Amino acid sequence: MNTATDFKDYYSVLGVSKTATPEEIKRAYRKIARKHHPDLNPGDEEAEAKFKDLNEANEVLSDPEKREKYDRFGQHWNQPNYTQAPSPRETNAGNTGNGFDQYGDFDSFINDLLGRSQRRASSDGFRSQAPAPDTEAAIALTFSEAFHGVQKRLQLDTDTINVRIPAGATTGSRIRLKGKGRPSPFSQERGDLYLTIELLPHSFFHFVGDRFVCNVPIRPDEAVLGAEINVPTPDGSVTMKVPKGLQTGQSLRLRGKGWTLPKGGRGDLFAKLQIVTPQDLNVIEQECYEKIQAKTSFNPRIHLEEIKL
Amino acid sequence: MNEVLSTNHSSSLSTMVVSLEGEQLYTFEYAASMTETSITVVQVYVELGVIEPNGIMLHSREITRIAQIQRLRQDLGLNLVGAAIVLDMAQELAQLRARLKAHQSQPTI
Repeated sequence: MNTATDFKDYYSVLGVSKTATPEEIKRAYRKIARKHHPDLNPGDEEAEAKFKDLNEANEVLSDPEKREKYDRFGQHWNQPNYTQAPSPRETNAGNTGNGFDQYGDFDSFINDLLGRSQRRASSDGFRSQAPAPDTEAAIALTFSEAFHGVQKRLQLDTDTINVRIPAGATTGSRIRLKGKGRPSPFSQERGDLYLTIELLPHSFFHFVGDRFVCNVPIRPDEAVLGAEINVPTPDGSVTMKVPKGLQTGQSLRLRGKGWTLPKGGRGDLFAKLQIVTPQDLNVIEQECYEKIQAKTSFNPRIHLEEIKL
Repeated sequence: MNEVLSTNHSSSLSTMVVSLEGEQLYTFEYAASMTETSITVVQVYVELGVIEPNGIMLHSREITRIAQIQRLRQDLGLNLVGAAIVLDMAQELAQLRARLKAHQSQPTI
């Protein structure tokens, strides 16, 4: 009786009744296959297992002859003395007998029914010699790791894969690892692993599209008169000339101080300047700003005077 | 991308064709036998743009794709273009899921 637990109820796998028509079985199969098909759920072992059961159920129940045998077997399997149970079809009973006692368990019955050899039952018979599909994975890197290049360990299911990421990767960069993908459920061969790079946010640098950008604050007097200021770059601080009359939001390009380029060499760094006003003025600053205010001829709102709706 | 780029003659009769990136390429005939289809089927796939040839040859990725499309047609009753679209979307989804997971599994920023 303990083998009775091996019995698979193919009707419940397909979610149909024991009296389902072939059409109903086909519809039920397609509906569930849509959800669990391995080509649509790469790397999902649960879906793969469900799809295997589903296919097995369909293979048996969509074939009238196999379905009939399965029905008889299932009926008898559930009875204590199944070997002696009468066949539901008188005509078949005579020549074949029940004969189910020759099977040690349900699997060997099914393998025999589907014409599969004993131990090869695990892989789905159909299917071609075609190479395995590729596997998608991703890894998140800090700006520093991506800029300098890094050796990383990647966990893919039960495998640990060592991967060297060359300097200059950015968000969306793809690295191909040949033959490191998951085994195909159809052939057990491995496809390639495609690794997509993600960059974790940095407190100072960021990307705007392809541009490697940083925001740099400057004082009003630096913006008005021009100045030399220090700006951080991936290699450390450099001195940058700010031209006089700079507007807030303007960017200055630091040639060759940007991101590592895939072909070698370096891109540019764009420093976006933001004018910030001092909050605590000393006496002299206060005096000077007041003087400017009293004497200035600059009116940035002159073109606003005529505006109304 | 459009020509077959170099031909290496090994010892005797066999010829191996590789792409610009040095990857082995295969004939339509080989792809047909691997996927248990026919050269005509492979040609139709190319004409409809559901697989992309490299000149008159195919990358192994495209042979995989033929097999996948065949399975989706047989198992789900999809048509050729439908199967191709579904495959593209499944790949994109897998990519996005992997990227999301990479971000979520990062303990600190």
